[in-house]
Amino acid sequence: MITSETVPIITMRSITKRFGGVTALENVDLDIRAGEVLAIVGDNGAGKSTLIKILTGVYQPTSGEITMNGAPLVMNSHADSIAKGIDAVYQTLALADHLTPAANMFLGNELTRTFLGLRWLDNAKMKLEAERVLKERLGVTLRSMDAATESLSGGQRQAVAIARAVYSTDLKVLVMDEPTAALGPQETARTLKLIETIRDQGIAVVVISHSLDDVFQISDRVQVMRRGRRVGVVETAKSSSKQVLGMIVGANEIEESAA
Amino acid sequence: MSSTSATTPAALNFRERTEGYMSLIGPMVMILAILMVMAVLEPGRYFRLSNFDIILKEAALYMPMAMAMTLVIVTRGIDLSIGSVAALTAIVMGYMVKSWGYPWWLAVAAAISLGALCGFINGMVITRLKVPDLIGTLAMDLVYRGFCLIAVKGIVLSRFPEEIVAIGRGEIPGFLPLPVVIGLVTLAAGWFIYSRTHLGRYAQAIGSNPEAAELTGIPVDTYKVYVYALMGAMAGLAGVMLAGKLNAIQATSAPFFNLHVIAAVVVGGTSLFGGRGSMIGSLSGVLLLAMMINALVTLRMEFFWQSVASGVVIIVSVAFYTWIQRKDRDGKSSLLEMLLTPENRRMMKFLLTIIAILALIFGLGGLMGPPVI
Amino acid sequence: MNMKTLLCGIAMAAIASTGCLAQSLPLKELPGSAERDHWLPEEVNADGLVDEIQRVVGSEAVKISTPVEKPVQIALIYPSADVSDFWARAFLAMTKRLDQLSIPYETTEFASRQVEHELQSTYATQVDQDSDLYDFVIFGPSELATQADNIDKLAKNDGFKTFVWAFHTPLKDIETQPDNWFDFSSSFGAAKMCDFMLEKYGNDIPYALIRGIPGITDNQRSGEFADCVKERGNWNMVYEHYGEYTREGGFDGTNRILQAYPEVTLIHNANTAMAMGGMEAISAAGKHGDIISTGWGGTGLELEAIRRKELDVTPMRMGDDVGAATAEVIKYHLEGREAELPFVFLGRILIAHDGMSVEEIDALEQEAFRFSGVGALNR
Repeated sequence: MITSETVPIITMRSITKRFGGVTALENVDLDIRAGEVLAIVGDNGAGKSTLIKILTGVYQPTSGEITMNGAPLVMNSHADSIAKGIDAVYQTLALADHLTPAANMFLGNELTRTFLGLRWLDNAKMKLEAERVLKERLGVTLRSMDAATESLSGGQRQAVAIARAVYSTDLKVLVMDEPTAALGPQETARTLKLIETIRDQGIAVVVISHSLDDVFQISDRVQVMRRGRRVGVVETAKSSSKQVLGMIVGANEIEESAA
Repeated sequence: MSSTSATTPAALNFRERTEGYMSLIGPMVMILAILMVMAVLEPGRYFRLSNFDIILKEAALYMPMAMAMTLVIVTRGIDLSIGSVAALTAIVMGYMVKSWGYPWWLAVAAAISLGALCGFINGMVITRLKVPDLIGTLAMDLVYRGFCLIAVKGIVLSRFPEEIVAIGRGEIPGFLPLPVVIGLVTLAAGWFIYSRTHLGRYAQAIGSNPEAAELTGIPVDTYKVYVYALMGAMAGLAGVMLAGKLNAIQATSAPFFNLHVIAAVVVGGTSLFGGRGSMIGSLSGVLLLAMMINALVTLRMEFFWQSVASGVVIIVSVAFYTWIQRKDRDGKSSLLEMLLTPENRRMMKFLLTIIAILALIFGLGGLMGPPVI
Repeated sequence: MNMKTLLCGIAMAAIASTGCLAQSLPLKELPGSAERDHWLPEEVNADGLVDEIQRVVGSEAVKISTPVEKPVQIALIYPSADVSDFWARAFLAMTKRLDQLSIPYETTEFASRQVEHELQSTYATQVDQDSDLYDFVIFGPSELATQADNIDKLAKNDGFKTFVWAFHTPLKDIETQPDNWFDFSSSFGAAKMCDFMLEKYGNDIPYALIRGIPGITDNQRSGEFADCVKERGNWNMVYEHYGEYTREGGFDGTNRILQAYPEVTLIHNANTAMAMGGMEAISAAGKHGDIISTGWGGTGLELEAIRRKELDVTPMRMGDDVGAATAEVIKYHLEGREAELPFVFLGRILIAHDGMSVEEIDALEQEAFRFSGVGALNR
């Protein structure tokens, strides 16, 4: 499996983010390695979301630096991050429920063909591609590729949202914000399996979650945030949920256990 | 379930297979109802070729606008200004051919382009000035109507070149009337736009989930402007067709285009909440309204029943679609069981109270005897 | 068609026949005719025919000479879904007079609102299609030029006779003219009003117009009145408001005048509804008696208001003339006496004002509404 010695694909160093007078993040570090699942946990307002938004180009840090494979990485928008191979699946999934899974997968990035000198949508090809990506990369087969996305189960919708991210060429880092928050036990299990599937394809997966059960089931490492700071990073296999819970609430602050 | 297994998925159930055609069921059922009623009451007059010609020509005027309005409503938008835009563009066209000596085809092209400009302005008002579509297009309706009145005052522009009259009511021997052909072509184009172009796809995405559309990098505002410009262009085309149909145009023309077209589109199953639309549904909605008015006239019903009938048709359709969309409608086994929920019992008591109060009031009036003048 | 033309030619030799007027208009041309897109009644009516029918309409009914077996089928396409009771009264007067003439009839009404031009087009098309059903079609156009082609279409139909109500200016462009036109002349009313107002109130009056919807009717009622008082009495039109012929429009317009134009002492209203709305606004502002206000048409509501001294003047149509004349004209057609009819029938217009005694107003009203009944119509 992946070990802690693997060179990180993304490093974030001394990231600070202020909104007016409020400091949301202060001197936060983050390492992301290919083929691992990194969970970020913490209370509400711990700075998880801000950190993730900086990673995905939505926010720009007030200070600090980000590198990708050792080279400095500057992102001015989410589009920049997608171009660099960093994409996100939001808690709301950002799916247009009335569209088909294929239309959602290719939304904003449609496949076209030229006919009579004009570019039209190639719905047939998008459908085939979507079916292929869902099956080959995520192991998911939908009952119908023609039904609206709203008719899918929570896990299937999750799969469509992930498929959109993995289809874009060279996905290196996938950020998932509370992927299991609204799901029942069965759908949660399916979603966790999806995460494993893409991790096994060498993609780094960053998961924000409130559910320590899920975190311990799926992650390789856990980074704990508290009040805008990193309070620690633990290897899941060498830790317990009790220990992590303690870090979250600030009972036993441990500095950089095994980074 | 089979979401994560690679086994062959279960077959779709009936509801899932027919989902795409649901928008047609509503108007089709009502069209069928009209046909059956007329088959009983006035078969000889209703079912003759000349009458269907009349119905089609009635409907044709609204087809281009229904096409564009479907897209507008799919984006969760609305355009109330189309009647004024149609009048304004037709007036400008009228001046071009009657006073300024332009050839008819240039004037028609100008009318459609001017309509697109009006729609573009509507789009800018909504996206750049952030005025909500309902109030924005209502206000622009006043503006465009004002321009119409400024331009022509009380004058009626009439007697257009025969080509323009043909656009409004021309017959193609052995085929459909020209305006019907124009209407059907625009709807077919609309179907193509809806299902095969970025414009249609993004209109659905914007209406279905505006935040998601924004997040996936769709230039939401730009596409909204495109849709409103298309709406304006189609209103311009309708203006030309109207002017040709009456062979006259004036500032007060087309007062109720907006309500008629929105009704037709909604009756056709396009959701006012965005994301879900149907061009074929809009075609059947337009046909339904034309058939209904024709039937009422054929039956020589009093004018005001047209208003009642239109309202009932809209309520029935929208209620029908809402009912179809409900996921749990199979939950209650019998109709009686559905009616006897605690909430419905309360509503029933409330209704009975209102009726009782009304009865009391009228009863008191009766006790006081006839009015003294 | 050829037969008809031939017959017309023969008839022409004897007397001007309405059946072929399309070919023979105008009978004479008045000055300025070339600039007009329509003919004036005087240009298309043989001398004396209007007076004669007016006399017949104002006299006791003479029963039809040829008995009618089956009820005469009459279709009415008119914008009667309005506040004005013109259409309802014309309808009532026609049916009552038909009763008096012993002509059995059945009517079918196709109503619309004034602005619904396309709906009228729909009606005209369907009635045209149903020509086997109707003997007479009465068409009250929402707007003359807008409905010209529909008049043409109906007139071309050989299955029935076509009458036009509420217009008296046959457009020269109409290929096949309808059989007869029936109206009160708004131009004539405006001229009568102008005469009366100048005589009663003198020169240099600052006044305001509450106009209807821009169009030919409004131009005649408001525009021609304004031109006349300007030219002959140097009246000063301070403000004009378009009230769209509605009560609300009259109320709003008058309110605006009261607030912003205190110099206005007289308000000219272009129909009953707006005059009523205007009076409401005047009494709401407590300006009752300070402002002279006029109505249009001498409808029941207006005469009530004149008796209460709230309304000052109105050009009063002998309202039932149009309907009663239509009944008479139907009789003439059934008897084959079309040649004795004027192409354009005009109803009588007299001025009613608050200077008249109650008895005088009662007598005028009795005459005007001898069929449809004195008093505000309830509808």
